[in-house]
Amino acid sequence: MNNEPTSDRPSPGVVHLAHTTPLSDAIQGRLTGRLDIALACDRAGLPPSIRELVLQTAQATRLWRVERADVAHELIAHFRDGIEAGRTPDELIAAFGESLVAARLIRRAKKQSRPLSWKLWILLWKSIGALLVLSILLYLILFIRYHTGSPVVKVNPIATLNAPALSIPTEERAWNRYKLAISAYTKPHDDLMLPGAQWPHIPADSPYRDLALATLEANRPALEHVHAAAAMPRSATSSASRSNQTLPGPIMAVKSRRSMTPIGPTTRPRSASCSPRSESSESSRISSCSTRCSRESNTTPHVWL
Amino acid sequence: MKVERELMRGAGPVAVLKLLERQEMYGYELVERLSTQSGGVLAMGQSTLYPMLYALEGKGLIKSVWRDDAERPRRYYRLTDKGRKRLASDTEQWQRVIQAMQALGIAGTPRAASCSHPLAGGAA
Repeated sequence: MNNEPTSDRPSPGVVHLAHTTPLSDAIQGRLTGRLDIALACDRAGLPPSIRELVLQTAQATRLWRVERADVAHELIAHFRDGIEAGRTPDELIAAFGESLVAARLIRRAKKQSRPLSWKLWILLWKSIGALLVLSILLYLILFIRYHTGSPVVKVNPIATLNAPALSIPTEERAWNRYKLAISAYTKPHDDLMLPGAQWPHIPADSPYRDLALATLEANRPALEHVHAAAAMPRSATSSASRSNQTLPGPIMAVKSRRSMTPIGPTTRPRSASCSPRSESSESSRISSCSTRCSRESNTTPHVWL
Repeated sequence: MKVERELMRGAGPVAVLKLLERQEMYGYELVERLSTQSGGVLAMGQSTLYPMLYALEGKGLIKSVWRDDAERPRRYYRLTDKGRKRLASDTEQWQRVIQAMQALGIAGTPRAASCSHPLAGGAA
């Protein structure tokens, strides 16, 4: 191994020196060329083997140019001290250890010494990168899933909605009776719909009274169903029993209003509905009629619907 | 005999801080002192020493400065106040470890240990 110092390199030009001088030196008016590591090795008169080691280590650190030069200058000083102490280049190289290992450790240590602003900047970019990668990954997963998968209904919300109503025993479901009432309902006579008939507020001396009573009589079965339904604790309204539906419709389990208070002549009509507002107006009509029936025996002058 | 890498990882920085406690030193000087004063036990390759120095500097335990006093520039390291505190703390911890080792019969007696360890005695 050739361990003789080499200094046959031509002197660097001003442009080269200017290019390899750090700003701090340039501000002081000195063209040091300190960033040129090879030049520093040559100036130090290091043996080629050590020169190569210094260059290799400095390059392998992959640090900033100024940091790299700083490390190289320290290594140059170190080896010069070693040579002056009487150590041979081979001994010094052996004592130095693996240059790549040294470079990796130096890089790690030097990066810790960098300013906080640089660390935050790197952290910011790493975060953005990680977010981007995650987004792309998520997009790819969803893309694959969208194009390869098929929707599977795992939850039946209608069944969930039906559960409370279905838990009610059949004989306690008022809605079944209401449906019977609706089926049994007979429409009032057309004459009762005339403005002069004052339906449903028919006075006692009205010529339409008999017609109204006949209508009520015709609706007696429906009213009985309504009475029976109103006596039940819960409505358990369900449209699932409709035969023309594949899926059951919305089912509501509500407490029926048991307070079917008879309505007096001067009281305002109350809603006699035993079902929620969504139920048909037919059932409420029937309910009102039931009130009327219950009061027939008391010969009340008005019928409130 | 050189110590294992894991042990060296804990002992190396304390040894360096201890050497820098009284005076500032440059890299090669540290290498030589570590080797001679520890009887070669704490001798470490420069590939380990310089990264350690940079790491200690990064933590603010030591500070470096370039000086051109001896014909050529050298980088001198000195202990900072933070480094002194760390050295005191680490020294205390090492003493406890040594006492524990003595109690276990792994290390020698305190008297013998203090006499045999160059770093603990005549470092100056």
